[in-house]
Amino acid sequence: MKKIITTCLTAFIVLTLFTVSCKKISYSDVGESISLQKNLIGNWKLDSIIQVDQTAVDKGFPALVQRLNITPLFAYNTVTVKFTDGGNGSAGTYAFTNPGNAPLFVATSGNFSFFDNGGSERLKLAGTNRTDSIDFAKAYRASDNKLALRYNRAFFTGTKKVFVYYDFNFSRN
Amino acid sequence: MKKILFLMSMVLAGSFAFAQTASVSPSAFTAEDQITITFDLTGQSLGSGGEDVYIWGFVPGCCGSPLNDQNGFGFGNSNPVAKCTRIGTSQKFTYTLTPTTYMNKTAAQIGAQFGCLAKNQNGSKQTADFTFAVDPLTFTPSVFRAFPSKFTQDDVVTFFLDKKLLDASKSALKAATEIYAYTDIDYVKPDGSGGFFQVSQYCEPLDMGDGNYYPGQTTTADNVALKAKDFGNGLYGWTIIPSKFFRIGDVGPKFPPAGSRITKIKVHFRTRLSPYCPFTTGDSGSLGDSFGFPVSQ
Repeated sequence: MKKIITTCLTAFIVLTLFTVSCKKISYSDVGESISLQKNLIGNWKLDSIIQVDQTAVDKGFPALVQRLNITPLFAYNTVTVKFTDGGNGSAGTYAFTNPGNAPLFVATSGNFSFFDNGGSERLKLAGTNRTDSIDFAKAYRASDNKLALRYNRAFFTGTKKVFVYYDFNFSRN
Repeated sequence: MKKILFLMSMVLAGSFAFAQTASVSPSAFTAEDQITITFDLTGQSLGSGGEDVYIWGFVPGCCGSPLNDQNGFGFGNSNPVAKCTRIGTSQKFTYTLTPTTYMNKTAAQIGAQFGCLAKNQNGSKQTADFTFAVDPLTFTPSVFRAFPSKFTQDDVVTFFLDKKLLDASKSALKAATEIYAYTDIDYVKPDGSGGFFQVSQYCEPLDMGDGNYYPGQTTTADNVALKAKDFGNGLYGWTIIPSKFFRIGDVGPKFPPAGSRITKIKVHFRTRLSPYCPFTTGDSGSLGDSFGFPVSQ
């Protein structure tokens, strides 16, 4: 009797393992690849700009004092930007239109280039009088028709410490 | 059976008599407070005979302190900067740290607990894990605040007045539906000398003789650039970019010269008509308290 039970149990386990191990796992489609360089090129309209107090975030303060939508406080609704590929896909020119003179923190036109900051890809915007480094706040696919850029304000006391940043959220124009 | 009972009682007695403990001072602390942890290893092998004791800190469920294993150090070879201080000749050891600095994490990342243990240099002996509750940093609502809390003169900054929190004596300001700012700055010129600059209000005269200059107003009228926006629920905000608003580098007799750095912005919320206005009655008790914000360089 003991032998029969052992044999049945072993057969059941083997059969279960066989069935489970042979089950085809279906993965969802990987989908369209993300290319920050490809996605950047084109015309963009500024939808919103969110100012974030990194100090309040670090302290875990309420959301109310962590971020502020400053879009309605200046004429951001008329801001557009055009990125034109310079040929190799990772550099070119850019130009903002900003009829309401809303604060942008970067030169209104100039050259852009990608650079690796030892981690994530960053964007360099070089105008006549100033050059700024910009982060991608979010990586969108080209088909998303969205672009999110981040301007950081930081202290440099030995190490870089961001204390406020601005997220520029664009949609394709 | 007798022997087993004897052995068990000895082990239990030993555990209670020489229990390893850790305490923290102050007992209630936030992640930004400096704390001193005291390990009491009395009666333990660890720390006896002059043996050095080291702290090994961590955030439960997250990660260890970078000091634990930086520069090639690790559990089997403690970092000298993690060495605890022996109290006299006792077997008690202390270590002083500030969690955010020690963990190289923000208060939000550290969360509600900080953990540590004590060990010898090569890690062959160690205590159990000790955890301490970390109090959250609390945001205290105030009548006046600036957003963001740190800013440069080239940032967008909004000064907020929360009328709900205003003192009852400010009855006119509490009742007002139009709120204006009254503002001036202290600044440092490129040559190192100091300066002061004030922006005109509704009715301020263009008085060049008093050391101030009030630009933009040629007649008695509202200076709409000083009008605060109604953010709803009693909250009013006045938004500027300081370097632009205070016209640094613009041509004018009293404008701060190019290259000047604002060191302090003073903002004072008031009703539309100030009691200081000549030829008007103003609103007695309309003025909010004056407050100043340092500007990050």
